[in-house]
Amino acid sequence: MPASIRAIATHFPEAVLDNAQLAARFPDWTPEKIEQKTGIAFRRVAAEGETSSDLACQAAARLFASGICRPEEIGYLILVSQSPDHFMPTSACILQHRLGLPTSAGAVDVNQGCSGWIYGLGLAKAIIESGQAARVLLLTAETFSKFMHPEDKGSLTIFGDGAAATLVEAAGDSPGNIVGQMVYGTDGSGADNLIIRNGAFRNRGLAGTAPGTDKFGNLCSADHFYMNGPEVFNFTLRTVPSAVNAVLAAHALELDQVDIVVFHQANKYMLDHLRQKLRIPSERFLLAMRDHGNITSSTIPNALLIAEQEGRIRRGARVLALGFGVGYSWGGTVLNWEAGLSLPKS
Amino acid sequence: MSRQELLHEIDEIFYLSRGTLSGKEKLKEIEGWDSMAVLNFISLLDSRCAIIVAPDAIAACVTVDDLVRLAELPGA
Repeated sequence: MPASIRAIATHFPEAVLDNAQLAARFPDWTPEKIEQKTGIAFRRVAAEGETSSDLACQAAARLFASGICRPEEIGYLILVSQSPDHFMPTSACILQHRLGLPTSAGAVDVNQGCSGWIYGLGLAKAIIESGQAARVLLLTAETFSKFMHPEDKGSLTIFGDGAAATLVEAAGDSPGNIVGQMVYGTDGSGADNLIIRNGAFRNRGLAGTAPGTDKFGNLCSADHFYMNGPEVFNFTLRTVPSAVNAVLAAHALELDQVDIVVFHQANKYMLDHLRQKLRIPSERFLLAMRDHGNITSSTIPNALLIAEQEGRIRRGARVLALGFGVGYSWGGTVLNWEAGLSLPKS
Repeated sequence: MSRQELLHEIDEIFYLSRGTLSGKEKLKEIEGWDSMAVLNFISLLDSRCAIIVAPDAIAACVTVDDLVRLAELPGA
């Protein structure tokens, strides 16, 4: 039985950071310029003590509350996050209990970022198609705000907190949204360009390192998230076109046979450039970062949910999804959107 | 793309009127020479010259003319 995406639900924390607030803190930018460059108007920010697993729990609860699926029907839980509750135990184990999933269910954390939904989807597909479970709950969740230095205006402008719950199940006789061949890629030579250096074991005891600036003037703190924007942009220029071609080749498709392209929603500037480089018509390209910013591993399911709610994905559409980022890591697939999503009530 | 056209494009990156930059200006003395300007320049060379330039090469540039040289314009 092929794996199919049945439903997606999202959850975001209450607090909002808008462009006027950012411009007040960083006066060399205007709210208009921020939105023009990034495509982002609002970001949600988790409260003190509110963790990724809390957001994931709420997204999953919304999915269950809709009646699409009951907790006891889940055979496997995958949590994609780089902000766990603890080093141990696995946050997915804590969520199994909080969500009331069966004790017979598998549960695992996947430490992956902007490519994470694709990697989780690939694992869910493998689990389902090998007969290990009939329903997989794929949760993606991040509280990036807790990683950022309060003066890192570049990261504060782009990233937001949020979670998505994706229900993946074995397709039955009725139409589904079939997950195609998975294509992956990794290049650890880029590890230093998206990194939180301190806090784990490589730099144990080094917390409290004074921040500096990198060669481009970006704030650089080993205790916080660091992004080398120009290097990351170059990575996407080198990698995304070839990754798209690899996904198309795996499905024996040409780009003009794809109806919708959804990339990891990094920021509008980057995606506009990639869209033009790949000559993808704007009407076939999803941009959905305005209200929540870059929510890392949850951007693709959030964009798919918004597009479904807005009626932008017709039944039978071929949807090319591609995630890329920290690692470096990337991955993609084609979804055959035969059924549409079962939409939870908002 | 000619050298003059490239200079006009760099004018736009810094929100300057066309024809402002001659090439001799020091980058550090131009308002707005930051990582966003670097991204804009990488984007410009990729889209107009099909060159993916290394950020370290941009960081090593001192003047606008140094940026122009990265474009590998014919006859330059």
